[in-house]
Amino acid sequence: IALTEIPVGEWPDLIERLVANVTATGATDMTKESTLESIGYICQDIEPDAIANQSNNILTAIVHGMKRDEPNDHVRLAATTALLNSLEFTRQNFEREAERHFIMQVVCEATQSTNTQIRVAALQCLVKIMSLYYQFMEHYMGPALFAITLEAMKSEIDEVALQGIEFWSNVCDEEVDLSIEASEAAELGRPPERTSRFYAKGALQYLVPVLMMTLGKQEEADDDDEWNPCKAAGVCVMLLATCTEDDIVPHVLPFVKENITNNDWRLRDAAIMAFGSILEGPDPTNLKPMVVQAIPTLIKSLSDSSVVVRDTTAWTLGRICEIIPDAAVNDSYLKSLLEALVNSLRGEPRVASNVCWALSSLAEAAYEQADTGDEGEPQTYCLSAFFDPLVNVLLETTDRPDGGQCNLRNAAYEALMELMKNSPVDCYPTVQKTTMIILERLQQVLHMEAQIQSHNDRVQVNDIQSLLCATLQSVLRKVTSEDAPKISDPIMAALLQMFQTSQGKSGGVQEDALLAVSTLVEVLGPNFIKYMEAFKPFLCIGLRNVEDFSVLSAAIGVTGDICRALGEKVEPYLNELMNLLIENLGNEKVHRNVKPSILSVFGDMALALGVKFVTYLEVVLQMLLQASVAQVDRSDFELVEYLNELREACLEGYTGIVQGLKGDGVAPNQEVQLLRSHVPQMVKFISAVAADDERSDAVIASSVGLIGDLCSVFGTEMLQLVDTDPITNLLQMARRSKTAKTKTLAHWATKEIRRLKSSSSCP
Amino acid sequence: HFALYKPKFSGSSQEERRKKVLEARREARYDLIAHLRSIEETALPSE
Repeated sequence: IALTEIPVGEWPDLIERLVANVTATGATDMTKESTLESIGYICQDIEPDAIANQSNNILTAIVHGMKRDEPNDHVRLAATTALLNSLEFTRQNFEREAERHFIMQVVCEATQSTNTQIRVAALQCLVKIMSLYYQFMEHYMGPALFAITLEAMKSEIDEVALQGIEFWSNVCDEEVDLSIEASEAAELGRPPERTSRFYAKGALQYLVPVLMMTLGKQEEADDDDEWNPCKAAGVCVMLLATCTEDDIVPHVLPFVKENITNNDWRLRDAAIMAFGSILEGPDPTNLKPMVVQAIPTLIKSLSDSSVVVRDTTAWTLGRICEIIPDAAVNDSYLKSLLEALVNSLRGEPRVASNVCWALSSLAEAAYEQADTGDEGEPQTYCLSAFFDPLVNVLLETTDRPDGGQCNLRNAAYEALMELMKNSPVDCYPTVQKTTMIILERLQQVLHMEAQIQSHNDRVQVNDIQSLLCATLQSVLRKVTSEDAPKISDPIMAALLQMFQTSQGKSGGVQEDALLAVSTLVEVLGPNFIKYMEAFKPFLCIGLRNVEDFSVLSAAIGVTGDICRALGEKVEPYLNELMNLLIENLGNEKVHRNVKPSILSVFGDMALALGVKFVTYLEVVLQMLLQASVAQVDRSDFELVEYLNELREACLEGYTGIVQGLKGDGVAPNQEVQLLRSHVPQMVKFISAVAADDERSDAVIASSVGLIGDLCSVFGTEMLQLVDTDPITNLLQMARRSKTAKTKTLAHWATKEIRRLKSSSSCP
Repeated sequence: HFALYKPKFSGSSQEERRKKVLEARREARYDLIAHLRSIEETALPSE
C-alpha cells in the first residue's frame, strides 16, 4: 500500500509511525522486527525520489535497531537488511560527515556480529556503500574496511567470504570507471569530477595471497549454477588485473610457477585459473614472453588427469588466443597446440566447448596476421595446412549426441563460422565442400519436421535450423560470384521450406532465415529476382509480425536489401510492401526501435523506383517530416541514442528520395522539383541536428551528405539556406571527423557549396 | 559478478550476426549513394 500511496503524496505519516514503532520505549521485539521488515520492503521497491525526504526518519529507526547493544538478533538483522535497501536514497546523510561516521560505525560493528546472517547483511551494506559512496570512503578504508573485508575473504563460511570478495570486485569496478573518467577528462583538457584512490593497487599484496588460496577451494563436483568463493575469487582476480594492469603480474606469477605442475589438482587448477585471469589488463607486450613460455605446459595440461584442470586450461588457451594472439600463432608450437586442441575437442563437453572458443579466436588471429598483399583476401595463412581437418572435426563435433551440454553444439558451429569467415583463398575448396554439407544438413533437418513429437524436439530442431542458417551466412559470404548462382536454387528452396514450416513457431528460426536471405540477396544481386514470387508471401508475413521485434526488423532489412539489389525490377512488388511499412510506422504495437529502419527503407525504395516513386512521395515525405521533428527526454541516454538513429534514418530516407528522383543522368529529372517546397524543412531539420551537442558522427555524415545533394540538385538558390553559421559549423566539424567517410562527404559537400558560390558570383 | 565467471569470447552470436548484416547493409547503401554522387574516397586534405 505504501508503494502505491507514498509516491502520490498519500499516507504522509506512515514513516513517522513506523519509526515510532521501533524507537518507542517498551516496543516489543516482535513489533520492532516486523516494523523494520516493513521499512525494508518499502525501501526495497519504492522510487528513491519518493522517499528521499524521509531518509532521516528512516535512518533513525534503522540505526536504532542495528545498535551493538540491541539484544535481539532478529531485530538487528531486520534493521541491517532495511539499511541495505535504503542506501540509495541516503546520499544526503552520507554527505554529512557526522551522520556518515555514525552509519559507518553501526555497519562496521554489525560486520563483527557472531550471527552469520547479520554479518552477511552488514557486509552486503559495505559492498553497496562502496559502490554508491566511493568518494567518502577514504576515512574508513585504512582503519576499518580493509581489515573487515580481508578477514571476511578468509572466512570458512562461504556467504561471508563471498561478500568479502565482492567488496573488492566492486572496488575494482569503481576504479576502472574512475580511470575511464580520468582519461576522458584528460582528452577534453579538464580535471575529472571524481578521482580514484587506487585502493585495489594498494591492497594487491594482501588480496592476491588470499584470492590464490580461495582459487584452490574448488568443489569436487562443480555445479555451473552455483556461485561460490572459488568462482568469485576467479572473477575478482580478473577485475584486479583489469584495474591494476601490470602491477598484478609479480603478485600472481610466483603462485602460478609454483603450482602449475603441483601434485594436487586443485592447486594446478588454481594456478592455471590465476594465469588465465590476469591475461586482460596488463600490457600484452609484457605478458607475451610469459605466455610463450607457458604454452608448452598448458598444452600438456590439456591432457591432465583432472577434468577441472582440462576445462580451465582450454579456457585459458582460449583467452590467450583472443587477448594475446601473437603468442598463440607461433611456428614453434602451432602444430602441437592444434593437435592438443583437436584431441580435447573429443573430450568432455565442458572442455570441448572451451576448445571451440579457442579455435575461433585462433582462426581470427591467424587471418589477421596473414599477408594480404595488395588484395583484401590473403592467398594463404598459417592454418591452411590444418584447415580441412579442423573443419571436419568441428563438423563432427556439431553432430555429437552430447552437443546439447555446455553449449557445445553452438560453440562448434560458431567456431566453424569463424573458420569460414577467416579463410584465405587456398582454403576455398573446403568452404565449397562445407557449403554443400550445411545445405544437406538443412534439408535433413527440414525432413525431421514431420517427426517432431515433443516440445524438446521442437526446441532442438529450431536451434539447429538457426545455427545452420547462421553458418549458411558465413559460407555464402565467402562463395565467389561465379559459384553463388550455381548453389542458390537449393539454398533458397530450403529457406522457403523453413519459412513455410516455422510459421508461428519460433522467432529465432525466422529471423535467422531472413538474415540468410539478406546475405543471399547481397551475393546474388539482381539475380535474386527469380525468387521474388515465391519469397514475397513470406516477406509480407514477416512484415506483419508486429509481435516479434527481431523478425519484423529482419524483414524490414531484407525489403531494403531487395530494393537495392533489384532496382526498378522491384516495382511489381513494391505497393504491397510499402503499404505494410506505412502500416507499421503508424502501429503503436510495433517496437519503437524498428521504426527508424522503415524510414531508411523508404530511401532504398525511392532509389530503386526512381521517378516512379512520386506515387508515394507525399505520404512518405509527411512521415519523414513527422519523424524529423521528434524530441526525446534528454536525461535518458538510450532515448538520445534512439533520437540519433531516428534522425540518421530520416536523413537516409531524404537522401534516397532526392537521389532517386534526380536520377543518374547528366541532367536531373524534372520530378525532383516536386521536392522544392520541402527543401526549407529539410534544411531546418539539418540545422536542428547541427545545433544538437549530442548528435552522432553518423548523423553528421548523413546531414552533410544531404546538404551536398540539395546543393547539386537545386543550385544557387540553396545558398541562402546553407550559407549559415549552423551549417558552416556542421561542415567544419564533419571535415574534422575521425571517420574517413564523414570527412569525404564533408569535403564533397563543401566543394558543392563552393561551386555554387563561384557560379553565383560570375556575371 | 557471477556473469563474469570464465567469460567466453565474442563469437558469431545472434547479435553479432545481426550486426554483420547491418554493417553490410550500411556499406551497400553508402556505396550506392557514393556512386550516384560520383564520390570516391581519396586522400583528404587535413583541416
